Amino acid sequence: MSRSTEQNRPLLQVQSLEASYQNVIRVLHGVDLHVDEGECVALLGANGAGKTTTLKSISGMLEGEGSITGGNVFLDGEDTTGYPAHLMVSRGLVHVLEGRFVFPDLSVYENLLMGAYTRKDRDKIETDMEGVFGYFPRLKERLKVQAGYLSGGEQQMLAIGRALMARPKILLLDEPSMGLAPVLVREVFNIVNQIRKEENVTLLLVEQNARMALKLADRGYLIETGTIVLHGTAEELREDPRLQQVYLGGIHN
Amino acid sequence: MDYFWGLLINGILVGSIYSMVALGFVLIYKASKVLNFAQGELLMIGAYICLELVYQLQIGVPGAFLLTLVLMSVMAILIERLVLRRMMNAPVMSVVMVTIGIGIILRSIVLLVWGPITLHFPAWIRDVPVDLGFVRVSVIYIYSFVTCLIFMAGFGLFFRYTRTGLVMRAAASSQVAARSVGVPLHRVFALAWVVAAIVSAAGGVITGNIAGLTPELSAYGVRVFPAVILGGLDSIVGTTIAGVIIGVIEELGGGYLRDWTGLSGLGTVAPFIVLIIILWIRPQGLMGTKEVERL
Ligand SMILES: Nc1ncnc2c1ncn2[C@@H]1O[C@H](COP(=O)(O)OP(=O)(O)OP(=O)(O)O)[C@@H](O)[C@H]1O
Ligand SMILES: [Mg+2]
Repeated sequence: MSRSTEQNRPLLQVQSLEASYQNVIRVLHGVDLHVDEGECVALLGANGAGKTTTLKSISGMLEGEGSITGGNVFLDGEDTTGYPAHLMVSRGLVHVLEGRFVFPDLSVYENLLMGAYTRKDRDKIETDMEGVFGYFPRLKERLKVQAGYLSGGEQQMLAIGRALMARPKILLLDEPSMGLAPVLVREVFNIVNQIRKEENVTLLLVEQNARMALKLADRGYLIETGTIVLHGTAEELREDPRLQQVYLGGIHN
Repeated sequence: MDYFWGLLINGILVGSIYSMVALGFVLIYKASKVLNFAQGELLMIGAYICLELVYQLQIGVPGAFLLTLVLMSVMAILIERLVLRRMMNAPVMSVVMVTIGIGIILRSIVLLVWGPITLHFPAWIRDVPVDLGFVRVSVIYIYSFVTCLIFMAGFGLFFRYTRTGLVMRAAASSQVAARSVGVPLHRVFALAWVVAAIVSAAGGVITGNIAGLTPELSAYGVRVFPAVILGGLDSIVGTTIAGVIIGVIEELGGGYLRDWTGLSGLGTVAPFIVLIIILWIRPQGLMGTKEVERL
């Protein structure tokens, strides 16, 4: 039984969302999904299905390359459709982008400080940073190093750690395992799982590694060419032949 | 030998003004990827505003200078707010064209209000030469050099040690990452314009005190270009060093080339020649990163 049925108002609700790039290419054709408080929801799909576009539409990061052309996004009951990213972050929604956008010229420490940009309680920042080091001890060892010199795995950890510094209510994670060695993939997933349990944070997780994602998630959605074609509990999805055939067919670990 | 030292000192002074003005240019580029072609006009209008305040308010050059910096900051915020913010998602080239437009407007204002003739600040310090041991330098030059140093050091400390400075470095490092942590980029852009307006106005007032004011002051926008490119469009330290190098080349080159060839004006050309040679060897500038787009 997923937790979704115990709550009546979702923390994040997306209704018939449509989005385009440069106002020409229609990429999302009415995406519907919701994430309840405390849940972990996986958004699965093949390359180019529209996963990243969905997350960017929600978080306001689409601005500049594309725009929402229809539908609505509600965060905690508030209609936040088309809000710029800084307003979403200050409302507790943080998007960890695909491709780990760290500040390459800033040190690890400064990157983490920037994560707390929207925080009002600045006196608690140092304590929270210790908390981040609890999950990612390697970041503490690299505190003074410029983020541009970190390895891919370390940059991913920094990107997640930096997002935690904002004390988000909901975290959008876009392919945290992309490009990582299998050992690191498992490590990152374990840490995400740990964060989820300890930080009381709601997760919307985008993954191509469906097997891993469904171990972590309560529920999941499958997106194909800009529409949700399948949704259900993690267990249902794991058993679903459509998903099994395409995404769990032993290609991934 | 005195001739050499005189030219060298002059070069370092002119160069420090270049460094300061180039800082504004680089800062706007780093924060918003926009090449600000109104930089020279900001310098020019800053000098004229200061001159006007000196004569209207009778508060002396230093007081008028500080007030000028305040007014220039307000103007920078207005430019960002009324013009550039509307162009947040416009192609970079359009924004560059808009800065050229802003420059033309500022130059027209100067021509309309003050006319094309050379104007002068009232003499406010006794222009006695100071003996540095190996060379005698006019005291106004020393004031100017120290002012440049204070501004450069001040902004250096600001970027290194303040929270706002960190936010600006972050936005310069990655605009996307900055947005994703919740930085409203338009505020960073506005601040970059404020800093650029301040350093330009300072450069304008200093130059105006030494050489007088004409609308030609706006040519500084082009004259700092070798420093900006040489330093690598995205490096503040590189730009500072490059500014001084360009100033020295200009003075030494101008001085000696005039003696040898009998032609004046070669000094202004010399930096561009050196620039071409250096870019030939190091296309990314002295300290710039390789990825930076070249002009
Ligand atoms: N900046 C852009 N401009 C134009 N089209 C884009 C842009 N970004 C993505 N697209 C197109 O939008 C579609 C959906 O892309 P999106 O990045 O959302 O897919 P995705 O599911 O995240 O894929 P992946 O698993 O490869 O990350 C693709 O066809 C892609 O080519
Ligand atoms: Mg993607």
